[in-house]
Amino acid sequence: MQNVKMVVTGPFSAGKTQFIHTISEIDVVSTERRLSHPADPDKSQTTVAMDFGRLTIDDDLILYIFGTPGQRRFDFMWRILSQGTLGLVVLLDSVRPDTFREAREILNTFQTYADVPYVVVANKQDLPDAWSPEDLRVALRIPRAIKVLPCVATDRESVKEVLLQLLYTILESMDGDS
Amino acid sequence: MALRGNLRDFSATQMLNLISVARKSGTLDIEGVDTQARLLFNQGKLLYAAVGGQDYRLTEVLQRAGKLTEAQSRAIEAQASSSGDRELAWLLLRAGYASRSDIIRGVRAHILRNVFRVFEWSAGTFVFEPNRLSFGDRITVPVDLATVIVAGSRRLREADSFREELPNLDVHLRFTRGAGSRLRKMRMGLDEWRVVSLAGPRNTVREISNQADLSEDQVRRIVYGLMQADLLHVALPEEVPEATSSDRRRKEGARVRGQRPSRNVITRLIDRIRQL
Repeated sequence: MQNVKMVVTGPFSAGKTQFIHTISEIDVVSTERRLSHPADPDKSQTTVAMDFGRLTIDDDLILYIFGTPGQRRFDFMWRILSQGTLGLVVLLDSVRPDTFREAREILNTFQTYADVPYVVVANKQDLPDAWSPEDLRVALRIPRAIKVLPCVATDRESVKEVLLQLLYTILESMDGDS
Repeated sequence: MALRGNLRDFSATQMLNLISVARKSGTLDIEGVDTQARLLFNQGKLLYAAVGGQDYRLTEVLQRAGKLTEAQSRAIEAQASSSGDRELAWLLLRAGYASRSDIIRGVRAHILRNVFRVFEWSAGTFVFEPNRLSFGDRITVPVDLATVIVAGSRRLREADSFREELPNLDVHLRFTRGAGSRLRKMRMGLDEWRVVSLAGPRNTVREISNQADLSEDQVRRIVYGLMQADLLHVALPEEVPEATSSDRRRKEGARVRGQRPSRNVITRLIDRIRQL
């Protein structure tokens, strides 16, 4: 049996737990804790170590999807979780410009240190006043070579499309390496 | 769809950069701490700027710019049947009080004066309404935002923003595509030209700072402006010619390694996810 993994990361409140929950065939194993001082009135809990979902591909292959904590003090977790990953999904909250600064820092770190294919995802595109993927690309200075995809993490088709686009990106990077 | 935000999280400079690069048209309303501003854009160019709800007529604009005396202004106003700028412009030209270029320069200076005030605001909220353009009969002059951003950055007070944008001075800069032709058309100060002439794969920002005899904060401020104007960006590691071996070892050590699966694994994943 072969196991492979993908990692979903992004700032606080970007929708990482929901993204994994939407696609996972098991209940997401989550390490959520009640927020002591909620930064977002609609969010009472946050992930403190990781989220964990699973998708059986066939008899010999299982995909595990890990979600990193969004809060800065758990930064060390993304490095641990990202080792040996197929690729990364960097999820952004399209309606929270107050999280863009942190998103920039995460993206800068990836551009400098991550030798892993990744896509950037503009989540919550169903909400009024969501910043479009193209606006987010400019605002966060995301290079043209990186895909910025629209997404609604509660919608299975939307999440499927993101994972497919990440897999196409991985294939392209393999073509580039060969 | 409107773009809403807070200047603390997304500064006016960053918003102007977004409008310029995405060539947006519409109205940007900013609610500062004490006053508000309204800026109008067409295809990424600034057309009009009003601060504090002051909507000056052309005669007032030219008088403030020193192109018109108070008596001339009164005489023209007395002849005008409406407060429309186009009629005032026509009357000014006919009276020989101002030339076409006086009018354009005066309006341009007025727009710049107003937009530069906005750079000094570090708190407040903004809403950008795409495709809403309403400036009545005011005369508008298209102003290139790159020039505005570079010049406006000199007025920024928030040194924290510069440090955030450029935390590490030991990085190289790279010009964005098309920066050369845009730079030739821009008006920049001497220090900005010195930074531009030293930027590129030869020097890190720290080396630019030393060679141009600028302090770290000065060079950060200038580079911040040039980056916000989409003329420069920090070079990615692969864009820098040759790192020192110790640099390379440090970066390699910190690098997160991905898994290199077979092509067959990826295609099986794709097939399965498509079926879901």
